[in-house]
Amino acid sequence: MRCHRLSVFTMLLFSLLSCSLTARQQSPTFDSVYTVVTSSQQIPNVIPAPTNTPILTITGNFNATQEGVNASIPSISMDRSLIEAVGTVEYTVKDPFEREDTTFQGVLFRDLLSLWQVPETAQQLTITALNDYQVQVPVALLKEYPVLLAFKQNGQVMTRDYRGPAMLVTPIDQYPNVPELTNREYWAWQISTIHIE
Amino acid sequence: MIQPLLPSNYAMASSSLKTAAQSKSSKDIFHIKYQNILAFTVFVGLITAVFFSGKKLRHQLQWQASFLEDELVVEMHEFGQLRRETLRLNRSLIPSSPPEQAAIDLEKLQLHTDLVQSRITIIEKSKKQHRVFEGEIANSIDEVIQSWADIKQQITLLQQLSEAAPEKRDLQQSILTQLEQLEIKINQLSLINNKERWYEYKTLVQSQQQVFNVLIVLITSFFLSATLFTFYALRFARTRQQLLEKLAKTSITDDLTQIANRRQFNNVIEREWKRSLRNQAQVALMLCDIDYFKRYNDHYGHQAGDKCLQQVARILNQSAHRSSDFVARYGGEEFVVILPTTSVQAAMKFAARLHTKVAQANIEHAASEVSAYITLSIGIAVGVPTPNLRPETALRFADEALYEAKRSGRNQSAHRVFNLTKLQQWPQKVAEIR
Repeated sequence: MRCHRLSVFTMLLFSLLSCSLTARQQSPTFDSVYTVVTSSQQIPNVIPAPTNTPILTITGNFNATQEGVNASIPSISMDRSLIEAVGTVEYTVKDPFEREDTTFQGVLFRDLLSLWQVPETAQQLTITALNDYQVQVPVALLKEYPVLLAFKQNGQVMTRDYRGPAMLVTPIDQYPNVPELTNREYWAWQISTIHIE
Repeated sequence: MIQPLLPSNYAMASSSLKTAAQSKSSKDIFHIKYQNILAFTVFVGLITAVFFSGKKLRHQLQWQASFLEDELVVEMHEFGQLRRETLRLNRSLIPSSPPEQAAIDLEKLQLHTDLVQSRITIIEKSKKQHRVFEGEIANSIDEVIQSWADIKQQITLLQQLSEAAPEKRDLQQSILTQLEQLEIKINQLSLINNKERWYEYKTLVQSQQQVFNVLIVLITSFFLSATLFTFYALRFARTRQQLLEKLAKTSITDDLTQIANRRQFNNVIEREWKRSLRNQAQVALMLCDIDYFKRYNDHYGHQAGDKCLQQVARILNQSAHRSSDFVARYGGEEFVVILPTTSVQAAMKFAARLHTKVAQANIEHAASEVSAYITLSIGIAVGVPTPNLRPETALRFADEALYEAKRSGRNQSAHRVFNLTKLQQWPQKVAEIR
């Protein structure tokens, strides 16, 4: 009888083990991941021209217009203050390159896409860095998860001699079950142009 | 409460007594079957456990290997990138044709300086924080960083100088030479690092593979040993069970005649005596002796004597019709019969039947004085047991009766009655109750 009890116990243990193996964590909601630093400001329908040196150039498939830009070749050039007007947020992730918990501050790509009035048909963004590094990021990923265009790392503005002026940050730790987000190649730094397709 | 004495009831009780050994063995067989089910359950559990843990382990090992591979690629990539950026910086410093007059594009120079600086920062950070660069690699990284710091200082100086300054060309030339040297250093560093890392990666993967192999061997051997252990445990249990059953059977059976032996008789008489005492029923004991058996042995030999004993035993066993009747070999040529709930008349009738059957068997006995064939002398003791009376006393009565029968000329039966008073009182008591 004792042996029988033991076997029942073992079976129970195994079933518990398998349950814990198959159990999956609940993914957090979009808004619960980040904390808002500065709220969004009113931006006119026609995007104003940049006052400082522009750091980002947007080309391709979008409907927004900018002051003083030839309508036949649609492009938007933005400086930091203009981009940060859509509202900055921050969250902490483990940097896959530095391998430390790092707080990144920047703007959400979702807000940027709505600012640029990117149509529903847009499939992906081609992000190009200063050193001609290129990566394709699907638009659906940017809309579904809080992906950042970061300007500050641990409270310090990123400069061009390391990761500046802008860097793409994905919430890796917040969504451990989404394999697309853990792709390190999306973490492009020194972003200079974005082409929407 | 005293159970009413009903023949059917009694037969049932007695039959259950007789088949006690059988029922026990069947219970044990059930136990063995139960063990099988148990072993099966444990096996299923083991298979599940090994399946799950093995899957997880393999996944983890694969993940680790891929991580290492990734690491290797990233490091190679970083040094490669640094080399590429340095080349581009070099190119930005060399003005396009005609070389003497063209000015350097300062903005482009600044951009490429920043890019090289960013790569250097990445390598510096990774050296500081995560990866263990040792010996040659660490030294050459320091060297590269140091020379880059020198070059950067000179570049800032170059940017501050105006186009017309006379020392500008010399400075530009010296920067270019230093950059070429830096490139060589980076190349060397990259090569050494690749070699080291590749070796490291290979040894790590190999050690992991070894661990995995050892685990596979362990799990397999554990499985095998568990299977063998269970198999032998079950076989041992079965063999033991069979041996015990055989032993139980042989210990209560007489070897020669294959009927119950004296030991079994002692057990049965004890039980039957108690039962009869409880029910206040008559019990008949019969001692049967083969007449002039010694002479038979002397005349025909011991082989024939054994055969004769077997025949007589068979006759006795076949004559005991009721399931409660019990026949055992008491001594050399003596047999004992227990007849529960049997009156004197019934016992005499049974004895008469035995005489007839033995006579019918026609076993030749030339040395006998009473007959030409084998005959029996039977002593019967009939009575109701009392608490003071032991079965041995009843046996003594039966023995006395047997001697009486022998004295009166053998081939006949005599009986003794003991303690029939209680039984005689029964009709009166029943009348009183009514």
